[in-house]
Amino acid sequence: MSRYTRAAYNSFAGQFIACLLIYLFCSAAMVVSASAQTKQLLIGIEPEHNIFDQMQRYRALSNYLSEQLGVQVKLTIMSRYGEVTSRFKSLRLDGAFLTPYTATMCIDTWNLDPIVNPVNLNGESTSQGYIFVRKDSGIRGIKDMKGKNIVFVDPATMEGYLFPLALLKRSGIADMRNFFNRFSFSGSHASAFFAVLDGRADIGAAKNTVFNKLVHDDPSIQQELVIIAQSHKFPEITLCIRSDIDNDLRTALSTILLNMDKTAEGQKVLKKFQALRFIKPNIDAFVRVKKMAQEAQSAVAGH
Amino acid sequence: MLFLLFLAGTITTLQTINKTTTNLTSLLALHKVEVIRQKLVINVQTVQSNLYTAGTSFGKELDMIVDNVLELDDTAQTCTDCHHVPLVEKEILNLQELIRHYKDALSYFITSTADAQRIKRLQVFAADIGDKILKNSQWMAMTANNSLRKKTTSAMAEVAGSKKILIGTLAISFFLGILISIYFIRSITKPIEELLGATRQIKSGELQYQIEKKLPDEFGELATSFNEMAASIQDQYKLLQKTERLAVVGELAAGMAHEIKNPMAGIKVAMEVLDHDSPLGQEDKAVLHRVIKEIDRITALLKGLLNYARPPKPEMHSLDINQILDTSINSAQYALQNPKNKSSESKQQIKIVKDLNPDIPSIVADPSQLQQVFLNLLLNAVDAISSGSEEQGIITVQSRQSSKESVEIIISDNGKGIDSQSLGEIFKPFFTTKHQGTGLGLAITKRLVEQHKGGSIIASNNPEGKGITFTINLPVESES
Repeated sequence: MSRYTRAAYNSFAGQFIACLLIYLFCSAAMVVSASAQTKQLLIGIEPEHNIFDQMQRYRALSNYLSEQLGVQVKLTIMSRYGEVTSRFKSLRLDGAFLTPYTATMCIDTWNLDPIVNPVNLNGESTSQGYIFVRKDSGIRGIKDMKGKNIVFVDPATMEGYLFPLALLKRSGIADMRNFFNRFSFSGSHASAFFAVLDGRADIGAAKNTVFNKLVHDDPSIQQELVIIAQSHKFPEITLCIRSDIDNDLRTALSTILLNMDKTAEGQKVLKKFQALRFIKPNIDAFVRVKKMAQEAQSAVAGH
Repeated sequence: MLFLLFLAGTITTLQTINKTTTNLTSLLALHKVEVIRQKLVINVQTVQSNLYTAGTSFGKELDMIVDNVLELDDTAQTCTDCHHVPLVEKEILNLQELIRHYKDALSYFITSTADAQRIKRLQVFAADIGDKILKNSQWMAMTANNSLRKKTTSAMAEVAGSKKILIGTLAISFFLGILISIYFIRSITKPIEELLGATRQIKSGELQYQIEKKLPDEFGELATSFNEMAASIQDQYKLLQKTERLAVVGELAAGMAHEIKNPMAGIKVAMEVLDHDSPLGQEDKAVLHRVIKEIDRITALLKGLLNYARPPKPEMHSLDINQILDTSINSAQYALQNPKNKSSESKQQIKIVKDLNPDIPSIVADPSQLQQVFLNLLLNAVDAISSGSEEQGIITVQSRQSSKESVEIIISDNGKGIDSQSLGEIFKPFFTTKHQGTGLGLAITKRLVEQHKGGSIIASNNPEGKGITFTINLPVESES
C-alpha cells in the first residue's frame, strides 16, 4: 500500500466514523422528541347524576383538546366524589374537573394549579348549596328537622355535606347522629333531590345548579320542594392541573379552553359540553371553601 | 318499431334487475338488523355482568364499564337510523327508553354510598331493567327473524320469477332479432337481385328492358334511374347506328363522286363539243341540251349527297347571329333578283321582313355553315311561295333570346305549306315535294344545325294554315 493510498484510507475512515456519530446523535434526538410528543394527559372527572351522559359530554371536549394540543387527553371517571384525591396517587392523574371541596383539598395536597371554570348554559360558573324539604313536610327551619331523615350527597361535597354540617354547627347542633332519625348519602346531587321527592328522606342537601336543571326538565319539582337554607356561591367545577406538568402545555391548555367560544368549531364542542365558555378561576373562592370545610370538619370531629 | 321493441325489452330487463336488487338489498338490511340485535344483546349481557361483578375482585374498572354502557347506547341509537313498521318503531323507542332508565339506574348504583341493603336494592333494580332490555331484544329478534324468513321466501320467489322473466326476455329478443335480421336481409337482397337481373338483360342486348316491379325506398329510386339509363343507352345506340349508316353512305357517296363525277364531266364536255362543232339538226341539239342538263342534275345530286353524308367539320367562332342573318337575307335577295331565277309566277314581289333583336347575346358557331342553313331555308321559302301562293309572298325572319342558355331564329313564309303527314318526313333525305328537288336540302340543313352542340331545328305549319315556320335553337356563348 503506497503512502498516498494509506492517507486516503485514513481520511475515509475518519469521515465514516464522524458520519456514524452524527447519525446516532440525530436518532437519539428523534427518539427523545418522539417520546415527548406522544405524552398524554389523564384527566379525572367527578360523578354527577348520570355518569354515562356526563362521560359523553366530556368526551366531546377531550377529543377537541387532543386535536388542538397534539397531546392525547384521556378521561377517567370516579365512582365517588372523594375518590379523586386517592386517584391522583394511584392513577397518576395529570388533572381533574373538580367540585369546590375536592378542588380545595387537592390544590393543597397535590399542588394543583386551577386553570379554568366552565360557565353553564344559564350563564353561571358558580353553585351554592341548598337545604330543601317537601312542601307538605311542615319543616321550615333547623328546629323542625329534629328526628327526621336527611339525605346528603357525599362526604366530599361542599354543597351536599359540608355546607349543611357547618350550618347545623352554627345553629348549635353538635351531635348529628342523635339529632336526625337517619342520615344517608345519595351519591349524586340529583339523587338527593329524588330521595326527598320520593319520600325516602325528609330533608336533603345538594347544589342549586342541579336543582335548576331538574326544574327546567320538570317544572312541577319547584312546586313540590321548599328551599329552607342556601350557602354562599362557590366555583362549581374547576379544571385543576398538576403544577409539575410542562409549563408550555399548561399555558396551551388554558389558552385553548379560554378561547374556545371564539371559534365555530369550539362553539360546537361547547354546545355538546353544555357550557357557554370557560373563564379564569377566582382563587379567593377556594379560601372561603377551605374555611367552611374546616368549620364542617370540626363538627364531624366533634361527634 | 324496432326502437320501441328494444326499448320495451330494456325497460323490462331493468325493472326486473331493479326489483331483484331491491329484494336482495332488503334482505341484506334485515340481516344487518340481526347483527345489530346480536350486538345489542351482547352489550346488555356484558353490562349486566359488569353490574353483578362491580366492586368485587372480578369487577372491571369503571372506565371500562362506562365504555360498555356507551357502546350499548350507540347500538340502540343505530336502530332508529333504519325504517321500521310502526309496531317495531314503537318497540325500538321503548327499548331506547329502557336503556335510558338502565343508564340512570346503573349510575345511581355505581355512585351511591348507602348501606349494603340499599346498594343491593339499587343493583337489583338496575339488573331488572337490564333483564327487561334482554327480553325486549329477544322479542324484537323473534319478530325480525319471522319477518326475515317471510321476506327471504318472498324475495327468493321473486328472484326466481325475475330469472324466468329475464330468460324469457332474452329468448324473445334473440328470436325477434333473427326474424328482423332475415326480414332486413330479404328486403335488401330481393331488390338487388331484381337490379342484377335487369343489368344482365341490358348486357344481353335487350336495351328496351325496363324494371316494371315497384321496388321499395331507395331501391325504387335506383330502379327509376336504371330505367332512364337504359332508355338513354337505347337512344344513344340508335344515334350511333344512324351515324354509322351515314358514315357508310358518306363512304359510298365519296366513292360515287370519285367514280361518277369525272366520267360525267367528260361526257358533259363531249356533249358541249358536239353542240358547238357538229352540224346537227335543231332537234338533235335539243336532245344534247337535255343530256347536258341531266348531267348537271346528277352532279348536283352527288354534291348534295356528299354534303349530307360527310358534312365539313364546323369551325367555331364567336359571332353575332343577326349579322349572319343579314348576310344570308342579302344573298337571298340577290338570288331573287338574278334573272336566271325569274319565272312567270315570280312577277309578284317577295318581301323579306326582318325582326331581329339587337340585344341578343353572341353565340359560338361556324359562320359559313350557319349562312348555308339560313340561305337554304330562305330559298326553300321562296320556292314554297313561288309555287302556290297568289298573294304577295312574305318571308319573316326573327331572332330572339328564348332562354338564358339559347337563342332562337324563326324563319316563316306564307307559301303553300305542307300536309301534316309530310311534315314529319320533311328532314329525311331524298324527301321532296318539288319536281326538280334532290330532297337533300333540309336534310343537310338539319345535319349542319345539329353539328353545333345543342343545336336543333323543328318545322311546323303556321297557325293560320298558310306556310311553314322553321325554328332553330342555338346555344349562347358561355361566360366561362
